[in-house]
Amino acid sequence: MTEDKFWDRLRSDAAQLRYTPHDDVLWTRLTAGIRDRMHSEASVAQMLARWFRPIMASFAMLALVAALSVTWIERHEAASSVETIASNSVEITLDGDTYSLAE
Amino acid sequence: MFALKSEVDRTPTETDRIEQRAIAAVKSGDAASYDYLVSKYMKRVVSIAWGIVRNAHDAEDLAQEAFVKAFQTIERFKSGEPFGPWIYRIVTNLSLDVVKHRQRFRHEELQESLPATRGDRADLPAVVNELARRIDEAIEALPEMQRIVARLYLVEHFEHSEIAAMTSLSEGTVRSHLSLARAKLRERLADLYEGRHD
Repeated sequence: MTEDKFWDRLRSDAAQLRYTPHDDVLWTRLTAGIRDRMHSEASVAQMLARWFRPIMASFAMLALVAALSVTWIERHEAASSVETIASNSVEITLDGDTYSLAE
Repeated sequence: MFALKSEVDRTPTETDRIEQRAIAAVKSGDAASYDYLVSKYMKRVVSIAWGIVRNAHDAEDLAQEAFVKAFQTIERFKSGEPFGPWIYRIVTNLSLDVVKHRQRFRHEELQESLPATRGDRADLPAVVNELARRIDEAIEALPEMQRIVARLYLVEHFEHSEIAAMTSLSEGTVRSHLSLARAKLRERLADLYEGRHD
């Protein structure tokens, strides 16, 4: 018997090793089990979604407000520091004499 | 609810269309339509799991888990694709996880304190003749991945590409496992097949 023929023959004979219990109660039980698990696990997921979505939305809102506040403060501080520098005169002391750049 | 029809008087195309309608219905929130997919694929899914884990209770539990997981992630399932390869891949991965867990457990525990987890032939009503028993024993004696790949090819009649998709192995690796398995099986079953000229 050639290698290919052996392999084909073995494949044909091995098909009877499939696990197929002829027990209708088993299949009904398994299907019912899947339905139960689908509903129980779906309700847990729904409950989590019901709680987590508002919490996540609140956190997102807080993060947005914080980001906007930080941006506004930084811009405000930058503007005021430019004004502060501009209003202060810069003095340079050289060889005992002091020169002011504002003048 | 999605209407269930008898499998007998359907052409394959019609079956495919009904399957696609069932998937679309499940995606749109009609969980009852999932019964069609469960009833269509349940037996094959249990058989695949059993072939890998070789324990009836574990196989049934894995089949249930696979269907629940597929249901929960049905949004990710591409419309128009057949449901079979997807559910087969899920159950194969879950079963392989159980096998890996057992292997890790075996390393940690003393061998003699463990109950037998393979060779659960008492659950296999099909092994009623000597030929089937010998083939089953020969496949079970193969190294783990060769055994799983050989079982999917020889017993479940999946093609190389399908096995590759189910096990996340490359097609080349699947062919290599099968080639090694074939040599060993031919040697072990020589007395059964060498004399046959049909």
